[in-house]
Amino acid sequence: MSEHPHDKLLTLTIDGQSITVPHGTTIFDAARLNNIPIPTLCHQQNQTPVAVCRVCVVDCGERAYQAACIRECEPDMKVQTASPGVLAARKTIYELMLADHPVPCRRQQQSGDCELEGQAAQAGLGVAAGLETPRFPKRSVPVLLPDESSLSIAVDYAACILCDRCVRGCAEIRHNFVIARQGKGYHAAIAFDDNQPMGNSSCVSCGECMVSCPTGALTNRRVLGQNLQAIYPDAEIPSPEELLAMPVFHGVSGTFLELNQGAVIKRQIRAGEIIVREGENGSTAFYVLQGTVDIYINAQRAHVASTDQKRGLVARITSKLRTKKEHARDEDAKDRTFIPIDASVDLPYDNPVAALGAGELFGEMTCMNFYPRSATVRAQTDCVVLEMLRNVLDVLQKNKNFRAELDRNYRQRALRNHLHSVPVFAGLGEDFVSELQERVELIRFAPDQVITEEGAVADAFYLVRIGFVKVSQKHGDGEELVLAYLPRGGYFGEMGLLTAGTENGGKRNATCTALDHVEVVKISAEDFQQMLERHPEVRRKLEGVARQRAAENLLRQQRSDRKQPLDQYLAQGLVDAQSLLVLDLEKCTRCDQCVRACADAHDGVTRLLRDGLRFDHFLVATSCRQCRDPRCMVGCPVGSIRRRNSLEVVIEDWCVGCGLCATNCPYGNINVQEIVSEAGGHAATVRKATSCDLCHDLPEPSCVYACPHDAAHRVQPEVFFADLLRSTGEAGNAN
Amino acid sequence: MEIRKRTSKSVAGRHDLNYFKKGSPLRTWQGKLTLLAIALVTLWAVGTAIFRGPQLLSSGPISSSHAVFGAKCGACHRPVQGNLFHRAGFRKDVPDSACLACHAIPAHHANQRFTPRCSTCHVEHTGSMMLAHTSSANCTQCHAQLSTQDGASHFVNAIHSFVSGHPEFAPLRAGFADDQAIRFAHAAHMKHGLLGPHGPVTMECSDCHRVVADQADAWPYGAQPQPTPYAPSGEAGNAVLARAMNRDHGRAYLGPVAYAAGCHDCHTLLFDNHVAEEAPHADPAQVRFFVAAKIRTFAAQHPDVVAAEVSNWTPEPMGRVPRAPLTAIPHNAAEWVTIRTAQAERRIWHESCNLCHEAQIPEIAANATASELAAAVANPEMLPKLKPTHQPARWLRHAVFSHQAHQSVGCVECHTRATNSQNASEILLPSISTCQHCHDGKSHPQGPALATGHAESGCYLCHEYHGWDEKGLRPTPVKAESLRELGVLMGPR
Amino acid sequence: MRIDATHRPWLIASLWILGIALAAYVPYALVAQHVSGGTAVGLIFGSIGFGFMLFAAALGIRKRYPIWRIGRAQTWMRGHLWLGSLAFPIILLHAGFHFGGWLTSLLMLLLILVTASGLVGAYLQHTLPTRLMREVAFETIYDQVDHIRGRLVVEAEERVQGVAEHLAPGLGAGATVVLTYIGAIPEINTELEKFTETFEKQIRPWLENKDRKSILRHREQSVQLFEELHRMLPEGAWKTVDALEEICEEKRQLDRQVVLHRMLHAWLLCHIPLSVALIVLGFVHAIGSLRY
Repeated sequence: MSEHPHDKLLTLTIDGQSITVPHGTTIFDAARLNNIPIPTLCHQQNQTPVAVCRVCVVDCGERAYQAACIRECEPDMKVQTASPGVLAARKTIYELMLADHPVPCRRQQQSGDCELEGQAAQAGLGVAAGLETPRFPKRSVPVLLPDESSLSIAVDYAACILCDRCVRGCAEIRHNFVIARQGKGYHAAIAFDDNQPMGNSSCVSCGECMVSCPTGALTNRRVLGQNLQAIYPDAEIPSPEELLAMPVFHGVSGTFLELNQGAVIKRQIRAGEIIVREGENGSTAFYVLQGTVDIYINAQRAHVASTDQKRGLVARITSKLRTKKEHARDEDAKDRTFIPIDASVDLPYDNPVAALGAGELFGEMTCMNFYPRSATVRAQTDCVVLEMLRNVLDVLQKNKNFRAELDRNYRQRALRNHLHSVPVFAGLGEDFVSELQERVELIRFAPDQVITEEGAVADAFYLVRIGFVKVSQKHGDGEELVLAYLPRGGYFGEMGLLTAGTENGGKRNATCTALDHVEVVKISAEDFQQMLERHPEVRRKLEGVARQRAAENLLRQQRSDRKQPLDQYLAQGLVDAQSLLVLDLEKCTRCDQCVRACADAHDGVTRLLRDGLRFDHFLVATSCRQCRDPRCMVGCPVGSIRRRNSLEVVIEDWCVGCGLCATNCPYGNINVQEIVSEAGGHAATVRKATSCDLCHDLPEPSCVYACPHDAAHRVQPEVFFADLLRSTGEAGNAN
Repeated sequence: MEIRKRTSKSVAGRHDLNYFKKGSPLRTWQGKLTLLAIALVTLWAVGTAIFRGPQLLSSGPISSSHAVFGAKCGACHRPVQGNLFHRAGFRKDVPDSACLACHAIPAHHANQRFTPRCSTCHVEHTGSMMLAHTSSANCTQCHAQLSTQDGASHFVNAIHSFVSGHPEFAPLRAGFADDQAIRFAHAAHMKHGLLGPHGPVTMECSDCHRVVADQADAWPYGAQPQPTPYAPSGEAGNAVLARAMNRDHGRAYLGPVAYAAGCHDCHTLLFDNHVAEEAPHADPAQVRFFVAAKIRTFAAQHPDVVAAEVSNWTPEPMGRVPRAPLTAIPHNAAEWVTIRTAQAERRIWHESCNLCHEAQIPEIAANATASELAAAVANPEMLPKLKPTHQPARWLRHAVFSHQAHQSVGCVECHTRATNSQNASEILLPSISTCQHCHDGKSHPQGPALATGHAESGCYLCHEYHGWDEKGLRPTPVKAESLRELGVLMGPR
Repeated sequence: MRIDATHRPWLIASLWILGIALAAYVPYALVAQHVSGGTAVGLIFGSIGFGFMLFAAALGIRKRYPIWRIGRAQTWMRGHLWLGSLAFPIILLHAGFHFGGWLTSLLMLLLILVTASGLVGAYLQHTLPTRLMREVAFETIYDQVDHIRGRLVVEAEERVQGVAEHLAPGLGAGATVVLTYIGAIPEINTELEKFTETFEKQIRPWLENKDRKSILRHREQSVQLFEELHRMLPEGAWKTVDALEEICEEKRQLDRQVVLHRMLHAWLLCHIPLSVALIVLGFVHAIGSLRY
């Protein structure tokens, strides 16, 4: 075609119509310009034609039908776009594609505009009702399961027809180069980055792919039932153009923003007005456009007041006697100088107030992970904020510009606090922190994404900023053994780094996985070593912690198949428990007396289930274990779940029943009960989370007290099972 | 296998949190059956109460003698008279008035310190057939430290039980003597191969000593039975004694050994060779009359024999008891009769009576003439004087005894000295220690007696509190009136 | 309750009580010619025995109000066991080894039955929990067994429906996408049908407790059945088959649990009603004999 310059015209006949077009024009374009419709799926005007769907085939009088989208016109060409042969071929293509396509697909369900299904219907295929006698029946073929890891875009591989429109949209239009094709044959599919779930990939959630997709393979994830305008009728809905004008939305698909109108609003807030209150449930995040907000914790000290003091003299004396043993926890708590909150700053414990200015984001945790609000935010000056739902927040967070800003903010403002909030780093010098500020990395991880892999070379130290990290080890037979869950303020990776240089050292001894939307501060190995050198007391503390963890892990390192009790002990997480309700199965007659007692002691609601896993000849009943690291307590919207001065985790009566703690508990020991309350003067059904409180106002838990067979015991696992574990450990050593 | 992952959470998450409120079949059945049990028991109780009256509440079977009262608990358990407190209180005890309504009961002793309630000793509802079988403790509560309203008692005053503090039987105590008028040696009669009327005989105790009921039976080795029913006389004529003797249907006590039944077969009362009949075992006067009459009759019927003997007189033969024969010679039939009668009297007085009875026999001079002899046999002064005999039926005056109850024991096991006794005045009554051999106070109060080797030792066995016998009383029959009043007797008055 | 070394004090105390009672009884029986419940000693024995019975029965009430702080339930249970057992000999002494009247005979009969059932129960509760533990690894709450069985059916259905996915595994959201390459997509529709049929005709009815005579009751035959399924289906489906096998095993164990649990508690159906009857009649007897 090079012999024909593009400015030369040529004439051809399409469906009997004589048409003159420049050289190089495709048949598709020529027909389109003359209002002759040629159906297509894989082709879009703004993308390079790839001719993969073959729907646009036309009869050019040649040996084979040609794809109109890519075939250039030739002079005197006679093209038939709708001859019976062409129509039959096209119909066959539809049928073949539909054989692997869910009908109706997600797009068809959402907006009724699945192009494949629409065109197939036009071609006379009874798509909607299903083909009466499909020539190509559906078969079980390997297909990837739907990927919902991205908050804004849903991926349904089953609906994908491999038209490549998304691939071209991502690369040609947005220059993000995230999406590509992988595999062949049945295993051919689109892929994000190096085949990551979309949410874990480098996708910036611009929405272009989703806009490009002709079927339900890539669809918009609207936050269902949430239109912010319905909540704030006065608020202004910013137009896509307005948003696009903001740097933080730079590079986002306008269509995508259009689709999500109402998912982000602009609110004018007067000084003094409270934006969010701590403990509330919410699903939005805020971005400050103008002005300053105060962020603080209002009722932080309310937790400290213990019911112990209200009781009589004798009770007070006895309770004092009893709680004396529990000072360890209190010491722990005293180390806490900062309270981590859902913003880029941590609040000092003594005066929990901080200010956020323009360009800062708060409420991420609530928005992404549905944790309740962790602090109250009040406008210090008149301000303008963007309030957004999680899909928009996702777009924002993945935006390169925004990330850069966030990074900067964090480094400047929060890192110091954050480091200091971790007891072992409390002694870090200012100069070192300033140095570190420039060198740390802020990294996000999607749920279930692996942060460090067991056995890999330890190259960094991590500090959890947002979310929870699961620390686990692979067990002999591939079983996963969870060692710990690290909450905000937790840190990991020090074991590998501390052992660097020794034999077998420098390796990760556990896999750390993001449990939810996690953001971690990554401190490189180099900086970490430097920190240790410059701050020996930090090293000492860290080594102390490492020793403690190693001691806890000592049992784990003696693993062998013969040590069933030990494996079980670890696998069931008993090592984490401070107090276990165990039932001696050789004594227990299954009379359920414990459950009844529990229910009686707690207004007819049992906090104990006589079922669970077994350990040795004991049943570890489903009842709060008073974990050393109570995951349940993190994220309570109203702060009603807390640990008392003694070890009991109690849920106070102002619980709102959000069930977060129940979800968090790895052992199913917290339940949300619907109970009828008459507190307000009228009976109403309220939801309350319940958990064993060890009957803390009684000298002995009711379940144990009521066991007629001496089967139920509340025990400290490491003491109670000490003999058992020691004996198996020795057996293991002998071998 | 572990393909399906089980975690604490997944295991716990399976359950309905309120399952325990829904009840489980086992618990439901427990409840149902419990209700059923209560219902059944109540039904049974009410049903029994309706159909059997308050017998339900009976703490045990009523004694047979009171069984006639059936369910009329109120017959004995009379409402307590008194204040509200008493009425509302226990009615366990039966007031004496309830007993006295039917039974007229003599007091034990007029001067006893106190009289316990009837029901203290006579405990009902124990299934015992004999209400009289009371606990020894009831007696010893006084007799262990006996005193009377008048001061000290002349009875032994420290009886704690049969084996402790009980005195020796009175006949065996020092100072008691049996003034016996019979010459009898048990030893002689218990010899082997004793000469009996029909040959050698070895006797047993029971050949002579028979219970009252068998008194009429003959001596087993005799020629012919001579039934002479026992007719008590004198002391034996006491009706009370007779009743006592008739305990256990006459098998409790041994009757006196009568001559006719015990002695006669060997110790005949023949008096004359011509007369085959024996003299009666009776008053000497009657004997004399009988002897005289018989000899006279013989002379009248056999004049030829008399004539022959008058003409050819053989002097009187030597008797067993040596004495000078009569020298008088008959000259006619009348003299023959006189001399013959005198000979017979001498023989019977000296050889028969005097063998057993202590007698004062007036001696007839051997050379007495026929006329003197005729005067002597007509002279009442010349009759022998017998010391009256006496065989007490009961040796224990304050107690009763039954040989019947002891029949499984051989006689000489208790009466150990019987076979060696040379003198009838020896008291062969066994000592209390013999009794205590079995009645040793170790038996179960109501247990079988001999199976264990320990017989009962309760006071009631021998003693009667109310002393019917000693007072010559009989237990009064239950008054029909009373029974009518109680509604037990339905018949017309 | 398991009778172990911790019962020693109770055992000793019980023997003491029994010894004292016998020591009191023997002289009384020897001295008193008349031994029955009506005498002072008899009344004392009766009161003590009835007291023991009442205490034993009070366990039922104690259990109804488990949170009353009136002594630990296990103390009560120990008391129930030992004093309850003692009630029998004491009552024998009370009765002087006699039956007495209608009511007292019935009472004695009831007492014998109650004591006997109690002893049987104690034995069962001593031994069966260990058996339950050994034989029923999948043990759950007895009252929830039906519920769990229902869930097993649902789970089995889900597993069977997902068998196609197991044949063509692909991991989706969450984990790093890794396609498991399988050599070929086997045309196994007939086998799948057979599998589904086996499930519908054999496994499911048994899981639903409709087919009580299924061969799946027996572990060996069950193993055989699943061996066949293993041979029939390609490796991709083995997980499902294994899971089904385990579900069947769980169901089997739950059935066993039900049997054992009933053994463990059925004796109470005899013990409790009889005890209540005993107590009621005991009161009748006590009141009656004290009044009359």
